[in-house]
Amino acid sequence: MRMVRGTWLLAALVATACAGADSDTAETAEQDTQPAAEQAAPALTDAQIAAIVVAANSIDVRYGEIARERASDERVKQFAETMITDHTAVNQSAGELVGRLGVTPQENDVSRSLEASAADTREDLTTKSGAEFDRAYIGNEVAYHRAVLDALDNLLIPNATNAELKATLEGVRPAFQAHLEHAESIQQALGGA
Amino acid sequence: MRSRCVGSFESRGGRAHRHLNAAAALLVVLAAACATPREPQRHEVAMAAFAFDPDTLRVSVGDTIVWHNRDVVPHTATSSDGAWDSGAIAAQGSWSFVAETAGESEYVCTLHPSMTGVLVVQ
Repeated sequence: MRMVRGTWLLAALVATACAGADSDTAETAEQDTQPAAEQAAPALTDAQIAAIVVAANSIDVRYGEIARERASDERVKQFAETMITDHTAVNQSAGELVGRLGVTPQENDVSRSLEASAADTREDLTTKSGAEFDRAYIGNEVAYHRAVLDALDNLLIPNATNAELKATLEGVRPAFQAHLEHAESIQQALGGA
Repeated sequence: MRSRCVGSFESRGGRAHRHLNAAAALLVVLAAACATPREPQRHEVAMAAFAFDPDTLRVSVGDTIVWHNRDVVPHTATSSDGAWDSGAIAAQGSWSFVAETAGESEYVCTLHPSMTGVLVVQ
């Protein structure tokens, strides 16, 4: 199943951030002689991470709202309702946490790129109907949740400096994993891949 | 009773009969103990990190099972054979169920099908 552009973008951004955080041998040797404060800072700040989390959840809520209206298969409709409910709840919980921590989500290149790509995906989904829409929506959900999980594991959780924020990110990971497994089972049932 | 029995048995030289009486008395006491109804117990299942904990629970008929939702999203506890269904349990909410029939039930969260559990009622 072709991944939509947004999920490729997320995966590419994760890879770029991870590559930027790595050092080649020469740089490593040089950095070893530098004071710790001068060594490479995390790729993202907690405020930027918060903005990415909000964007990632909001994007899937909007995908779900489209599917709630356009899906034809009952399993797809119910899945979409679950996505709307769950990602709204996760965003609310994350919002309460960052509010308590005094962290204001800061838009950044990653969050803006996600939003822009999601807009393209929504436009593409609205051109489809019936079984074609169902397969496209679920296929996007599979790819999207895989990409978000990759981002959590390789970018967001490792870069979070606040312990509570890190714990929250680790706490929401099971939700994305459960959604991915659910989407994959529906995709298989629909005969997609 | 013992003095009457001892007097009559010993008159027949029946030490074995005394042992038999003691065994019979013990059996009566044990039978009485077994007949005493067991108090129903309460069991807890956590719905946390999109999993049931414990994922397999053994209870007795008459026991109560309480599912507590520790996640921020709703879950259900729904038996695969349709015998019982919690409906949506809100975040931080709970639902209880009295096990009235012996048997083994697989159950699932219908909102998140990767969440599965087993309830064994003995």
